[in-house]
Amino acid sequence: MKGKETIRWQIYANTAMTILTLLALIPFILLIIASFTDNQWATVNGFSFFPGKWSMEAYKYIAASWATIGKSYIMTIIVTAAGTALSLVVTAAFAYSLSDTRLPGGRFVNFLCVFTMLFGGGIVASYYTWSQIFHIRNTIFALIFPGLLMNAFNVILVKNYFTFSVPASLKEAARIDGAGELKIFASIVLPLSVPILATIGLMTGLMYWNDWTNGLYYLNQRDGSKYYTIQLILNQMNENISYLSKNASQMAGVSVGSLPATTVRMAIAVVGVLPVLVIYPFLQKYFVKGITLGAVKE
Amino acid sequence: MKKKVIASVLAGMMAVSLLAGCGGGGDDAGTTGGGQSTGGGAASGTEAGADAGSDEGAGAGSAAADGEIYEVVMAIPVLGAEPSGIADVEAAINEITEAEIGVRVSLYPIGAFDLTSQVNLMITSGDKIDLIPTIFTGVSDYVNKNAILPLDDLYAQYGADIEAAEGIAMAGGYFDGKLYCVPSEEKWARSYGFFARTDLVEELGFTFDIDKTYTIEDLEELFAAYKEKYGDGYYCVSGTASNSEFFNYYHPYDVLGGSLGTGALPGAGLDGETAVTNLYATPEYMEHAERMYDWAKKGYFSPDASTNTDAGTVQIQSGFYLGGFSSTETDMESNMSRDCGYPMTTINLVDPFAATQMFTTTTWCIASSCENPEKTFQLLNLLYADNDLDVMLTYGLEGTSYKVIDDGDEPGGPAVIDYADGVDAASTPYNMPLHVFGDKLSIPVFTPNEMSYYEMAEEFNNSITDEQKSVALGYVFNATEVAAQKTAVDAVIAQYSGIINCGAQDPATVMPEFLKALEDAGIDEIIAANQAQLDAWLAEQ
Amino acid sequence: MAKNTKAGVKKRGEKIYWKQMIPLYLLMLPGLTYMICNNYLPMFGISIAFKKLDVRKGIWGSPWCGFENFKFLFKSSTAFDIIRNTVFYNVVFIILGTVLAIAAAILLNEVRSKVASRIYQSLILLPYLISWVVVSYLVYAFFAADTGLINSVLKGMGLNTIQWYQEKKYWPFILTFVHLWKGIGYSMIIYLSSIVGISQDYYEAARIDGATKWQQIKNITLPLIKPTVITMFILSVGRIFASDFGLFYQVPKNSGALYSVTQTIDVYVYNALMQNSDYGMSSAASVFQSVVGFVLVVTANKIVSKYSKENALF
Repeated sequence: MKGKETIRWQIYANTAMTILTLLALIPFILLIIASFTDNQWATVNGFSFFPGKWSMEAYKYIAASWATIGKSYIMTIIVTAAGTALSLVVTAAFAYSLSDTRLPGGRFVNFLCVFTMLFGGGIVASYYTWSQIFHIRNTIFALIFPGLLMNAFNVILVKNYFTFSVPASLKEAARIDGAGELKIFASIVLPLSVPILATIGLMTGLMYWNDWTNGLYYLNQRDGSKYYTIQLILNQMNENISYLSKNASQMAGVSVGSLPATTVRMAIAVVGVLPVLVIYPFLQKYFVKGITLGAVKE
Repeated sequence: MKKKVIASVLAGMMAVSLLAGCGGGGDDAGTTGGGQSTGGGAASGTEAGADAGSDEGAGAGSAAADGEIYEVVMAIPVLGAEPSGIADVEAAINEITEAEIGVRVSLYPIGAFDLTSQVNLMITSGDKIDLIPTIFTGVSDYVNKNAILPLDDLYAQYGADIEAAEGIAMAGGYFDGKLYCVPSEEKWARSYGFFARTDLVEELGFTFDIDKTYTIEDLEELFAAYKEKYGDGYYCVSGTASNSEFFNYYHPYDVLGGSLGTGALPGAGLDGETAVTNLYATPEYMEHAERMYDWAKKGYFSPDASTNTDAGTVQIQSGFYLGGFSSTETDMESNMSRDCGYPMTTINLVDPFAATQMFTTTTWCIASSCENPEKTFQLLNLLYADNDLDVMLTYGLEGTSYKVIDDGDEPGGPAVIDYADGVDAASTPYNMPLHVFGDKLSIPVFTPNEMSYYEMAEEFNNSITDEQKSVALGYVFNATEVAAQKTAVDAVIAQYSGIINCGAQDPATVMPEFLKALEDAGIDEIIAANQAQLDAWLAEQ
Repeated sequence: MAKNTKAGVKKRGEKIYWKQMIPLYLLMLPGLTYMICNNYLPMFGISIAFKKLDVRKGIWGSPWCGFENFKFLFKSSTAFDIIRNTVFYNVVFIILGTVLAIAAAILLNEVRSKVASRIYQSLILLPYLISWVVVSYLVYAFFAADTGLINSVLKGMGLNTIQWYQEKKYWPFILTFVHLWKGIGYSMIIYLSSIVGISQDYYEAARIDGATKWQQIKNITLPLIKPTVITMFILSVGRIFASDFGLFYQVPKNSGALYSVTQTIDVYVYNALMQNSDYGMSSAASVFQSVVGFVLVVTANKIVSKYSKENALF
């Protein structure tokens, strides 16, 4: 009876997941095929799973800036790793302080935190603050600090986890044993919170990986180009292409020529996503391990 | 060329003495805060003038006078990554500018697609930036935030070479009655029409004379013949995305430096008519809408026309299109042929005429945060005087970036060039495909253009008579007072323009909806404001 | 020391032991500093919405202009459509998004095979990683009138093709589907982290009592992830008046014919301000969204805290 039910649930779960996976995967396969489709063929026939004419043009176009792309991959990895690590530390510490309801002023800071999710000064003011007060233009900090380091959404998620999923009894027991708050945080709460930390670590990592606006605003092409990340370079390519397609005919000297506009977009997406796809399962090993570890303890 | 520089300095001196003569007279041309710097400029200019005079008018006059070198941060729009040779180009430029006018140029590359927002951010937050290019956007945004300086005084003082190079194109620099930017425009008028693939035109037995102007019905005959022969899957007009407007390719009009949403002169101001009109509400536009609907029904457009984001030229390359609408003057036929990959035939539908909107394509302004507007403007003028500067800024250095193939008669002037040996479009250390610098008519052109390009261009410019200039040439509508209405109207146009111009829906139902929405958004108030400004402007002329 | 702590825990607010709280403040410090620098210092930017910006006078020195910058938001004759779309889509997205993501998370949690579970997780997250521009091309590949895959199939079956980008009746479904498709991986992982945090003891006990899987889900999993669900819900309520610009602008290819079902506030603001980068008006638009969002969040929070105080956001 019980065994049967387990099997039934395995079938449900696997079927549903397979369907979801296929839904996600099929368009992605189309994307990859599209990036290898001849642009002109695609202009006429649209994208297809079985294109009539294959081509590497799009990748050749990207490869023209291969030297910078290689460097930018490394920069992206550094920024993502450093940013995510720093973000986790800051977010977890902040969330822990807020999760303690006894803390005087805690409720107020908590409100301040939620408030930032709704109100913001806008790009002009942010740019002004970071560039004129903190002078982070053309430094690596420009890629780590503005906007990305900590957000209220993650703080609330972590705080919730600390409150609801870490048994209060454990904390109290530790307090009775004379442990200080720092010790409780480091040796009891954090190890039990691996699932949520892994989750927001993943989200923050993706955010850093995909971000290009900070680079666009705070790095200029002359002094900041050594910090260019992969997404920034790909995005500039993208934007240049659409700018050209829109305006070329009105400008002397500019030729769109045989710019493989759409297929380059697809190739750019592939180049930007593939490393995540390659690295993610490896990270996930630790992620899953962490989750099970966290869940078994107690 | 040296001669040009000396001329400019002399002209500058004359202007200075004139200005100094009435200097105390509280010349209020500069707006708030601008007056101060103008005054200072006149003073230092006088000094410079005096010095230059005693130095036998050497070009280095002002540099010597001030004794120190001013750094001008000059934003340049780039496509793609930063050119690797930019430091060399900068050094070569500075050799000239430091000696001539005491200016060190610091080139600040910004991706063209992001130019406006970057510059806006920089200006608003007080980053150092002096010389700003605008591409397609005009200056109204900058003026309304007080982000750029009025240039009238500086132009009178130092602008002789600019005036010589730009001629009537200077009309594009004015806003609210003041000069705010210096256009860089090589064509003094535009004509409009259709480009069709020459092979198809011949195959279908049509001939079109480039010197003649045809009617839209002539064009429709060609379309009908093409469609009959090729049928399904073949289309006549390449259409790009939802905001294309085909009306202007067969109707001349003057949008008074704004857009169709801010009102226009239907006769392009050539007939002396100065009533600002909501073109969308005219019977001509209704007829246009019906025509587009008819074209769509007959399959002249692709069913995806209103959502296709490929460039029109790329669509034509595919071989399934007859051609596309474009402006048709001078080098456009060779440009289109190059970009479409087929020889193209020009079918003129609108005679050349000149209106302000044509001269605001690429311009240069001086940021209001600029600490030394005089020197910055002198640099700007030098760009129009000294061809070497333009050439370096546009094509880089001879030998490393480009080589001369055919160097005309005048050294340093018009020539035909190609990439230097060993480099191509991708590997060249410096090449700015966006031509925005100085006097574009006196710098070399890339092959396959030939020396005849210059003759053609000059002939075209000289052929523009006063009858072909809009009466409102030089007038630009300032929409600040109706900003909310204009913004709402822009949103309405974004919604309907694609539907109408790609014939996606029946105009009988869509047009009334569209006009109603425009009215609700306040188009009438905008047009009234525009009319009032235009009348005042005309009265001043 | 131990005694003090105990007392402090026992009765909140009875007496505060500062020495004990100092470590907590230390933990708070980096985050709070960052929040002040990154979020609160720039808040002066909100004033731009009420000013006529004059660069030479700076943001502070610029003259006030009252609600002038807000006017364009209410000039549109389609204001009703815009608000209806924004609210309607968001409500649907919140409900469907939450239900499906939780269901997916629960099912994923049931998958026994570690390898399979890992593959599912990475692949379902894929759409989240692709930019909206690229998504719009993929959608276009399916729905283009001339070359789209769906129309090819319809043609192949001898049916009439459909001008998808001109027919607005299909788009509420298409947009909802695309939204769910792109976002489900992300929210699924959030709920999953919450589910795996549940102690196995509960399930063990339930199994001993002979509870079926369904009963376990209903009586253990769902109640225990309720806090996360409520938090996510309140937070998304605050975003109701902001919409996903990429979804509503890029995916329908800004096709005018579809506006009455695709135009949301963000799209309207973008189309209106495309021609001019007017900081005043764009910050007016975001202030408007923020204020409405704020009111909604406070209301939602009030309601939640009435029923279960500890689940309230603040």
